[in-house]
Amino acid sequence: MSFESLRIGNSGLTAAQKALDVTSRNLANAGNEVYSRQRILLSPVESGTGPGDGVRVLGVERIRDVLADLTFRTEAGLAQSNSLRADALGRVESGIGPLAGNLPSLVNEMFDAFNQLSMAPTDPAGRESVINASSTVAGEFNRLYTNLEDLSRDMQANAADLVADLNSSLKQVASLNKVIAEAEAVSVDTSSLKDERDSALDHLAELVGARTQTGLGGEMQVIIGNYPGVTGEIPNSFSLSGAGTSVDPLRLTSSTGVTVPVTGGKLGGTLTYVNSDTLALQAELNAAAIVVRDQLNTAHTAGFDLNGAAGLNLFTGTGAWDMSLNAAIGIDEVAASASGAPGDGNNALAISQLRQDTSPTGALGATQAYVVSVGSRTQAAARTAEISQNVADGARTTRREISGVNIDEELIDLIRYQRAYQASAMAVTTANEVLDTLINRMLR
Amino acid sequence: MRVTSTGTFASIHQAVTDAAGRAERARNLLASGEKVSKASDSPVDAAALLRVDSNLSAIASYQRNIVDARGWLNTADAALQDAINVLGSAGSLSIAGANSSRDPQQREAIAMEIDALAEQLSADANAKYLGTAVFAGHSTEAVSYDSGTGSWLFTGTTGAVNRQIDASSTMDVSLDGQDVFGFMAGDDVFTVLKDLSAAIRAGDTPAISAAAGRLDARTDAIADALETVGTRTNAVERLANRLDLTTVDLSTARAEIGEMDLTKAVLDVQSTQYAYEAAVAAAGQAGMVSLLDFIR
Repeated sequence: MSFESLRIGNSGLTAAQKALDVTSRNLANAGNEVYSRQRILLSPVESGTGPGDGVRVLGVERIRDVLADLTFRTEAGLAQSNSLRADALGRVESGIGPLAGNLPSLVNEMFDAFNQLSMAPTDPAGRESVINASSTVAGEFNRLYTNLEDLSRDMQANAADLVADLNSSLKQVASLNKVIAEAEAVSVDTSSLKDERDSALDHLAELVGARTQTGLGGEMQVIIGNYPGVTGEIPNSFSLSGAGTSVDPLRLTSSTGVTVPVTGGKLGGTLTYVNSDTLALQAELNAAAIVVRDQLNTAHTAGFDLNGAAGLNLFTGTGAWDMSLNAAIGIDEVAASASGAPGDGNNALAISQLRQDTSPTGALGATQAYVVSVGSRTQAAARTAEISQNVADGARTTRREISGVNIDEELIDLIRYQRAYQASAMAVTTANEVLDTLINRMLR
Repeated sequence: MRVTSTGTFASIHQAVTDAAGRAERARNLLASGEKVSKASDSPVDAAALLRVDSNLSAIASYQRNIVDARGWLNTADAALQDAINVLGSAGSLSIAGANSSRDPQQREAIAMEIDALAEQLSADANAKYLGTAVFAGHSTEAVSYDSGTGSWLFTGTTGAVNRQIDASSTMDVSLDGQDVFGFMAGDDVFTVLKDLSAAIRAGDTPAISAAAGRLDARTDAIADALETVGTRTNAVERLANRLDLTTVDLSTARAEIGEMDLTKAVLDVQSTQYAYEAAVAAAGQAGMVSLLDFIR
């Protein structure tokens, strides 16, 4: 029995205080999404001769599971990519309009107008309505094409913002790598810095589907589509290039000019939409426009106009973007007649009969096919997005289960360390009394 | 499983949001009454709906055509009935004119009456539906009087006036005036009447009876035309009935594919609303009790 007990008691008091600090910090961050719960690591102090020298604080451990992080980031990247693409396709679909009243019904109305004209081939009002209905169809093709173009342009502008965000996040991770290494060299607690870095890495995964790897020195390496984003303390910077066309697709380029393949994250979704969906939809829309143009032109040129002249092409243009009613078509030039006699409406009738051709090579069939194609594309994308969102949510839940704070657990720790503190305090008091007895009473 | 407070509240948030979303969707479905309002709701159903809709719109145009065809046929029918009456009157007059006891004045009166009948017949031949002559093919006038020769000429342009009365059939609703009124046979009804009135004026009994014979042949031709019109009218009415039935069938199909089952929709609204209320109630319970309530 010596003054040892006082020192052992003191170590207990210190450890318990430190433990209470950690517990309080956990409780304070119970509602903080980016916080990882911490646990104090205690160890008995070995002494050479006796039963030990009390307790020692080894450090504070941050509870984090690397696998859960990696899983979450992979899935979150996919989920962001898919949901962005699904949103964009949803906007394309809303642009088409409600099922009753979209492109195919305008084509129907055009055939109706021709049918009406066949019954009164010399009626100027009937001719006028054929012209209006046809130019409405052409205008709708223009509008749908412009919609696709505008949306693609918006997405490209958004992609530029994403890349700016990407570059600044990479810088942030690189500088956090540096700060953490420096702090750890002098044994300063880096938990909150690491939380900050993890949150930046999550953000990177959601941006571009970036993968992460822990380096030898504990620094986080960021990899974007097999290309290094952050190596140690050095960030790379990226830029967008390409015009979003089939020959010059929109792509992420490194500072050295290498094209970086990105499929995940918001940027991945944007690139997929711009480079693949938009181009495919534009091609389908053009194909439909060409079917309508050719079918109507063939039928219209087979007839004769009010003055007995051979019918002109009804539509001009090379695709959906520039399709328009032939400027030379006026009221007199509508070729309603099959024989040349002005009172003959048989060519208008023949044109209106084209409505029965619902095959993909018919005007009605082609436009219906486009609407359905946009619909199934949108539906498939929305389903994929929903599934990957569920998987990402699952991964997030797993991570919360590991790193989140359970208040009851912390309250128990609070009692535990409070009791430990009280016990150590009692040990100090007892040792004090024992020494008091020894020094003051026994010598008297 | 560790239950953490961020996890608990995040999943409560998720559950409440999801339940609210489902309830909202169910209410929207009930309100709109449409199961498939955009193609992505169900591409297969949407394709079927587009097909049904374009069929319905085609049928609507056939029905408009039928109204028009009926107008043409009814106009032709009335004109031909009148023409037969006119020719009947001309027949009676020819008998009266053939009576040898008539004096020239009386014969002149009968002849003038026949000339007037020719005028009336020309109005029948030029009968118009909505401004278009029904016996003139692609022209606006079937017959016109040539004052030079003093006879009536066929001025129509022969050609079919087709109406789409069904997906698979068109009907020529016009009758060729050239055929009906005998221009084609080289002995048009107007010339017959002209010859008749001339014969009556001249009191030439053999010529009168010859003209009366030719008149019968013309009456037969017009009666044939009338029968044709009747047959076509029947065909149009049959098709009109069939189109009405098809419209009902297609509308039923449309409702089955695209419209909400009302009972199911109401039940869905109820059950999703309960689910939402349950989620909210659960959220209210969560975190109400903790160890804090039991330690002091």
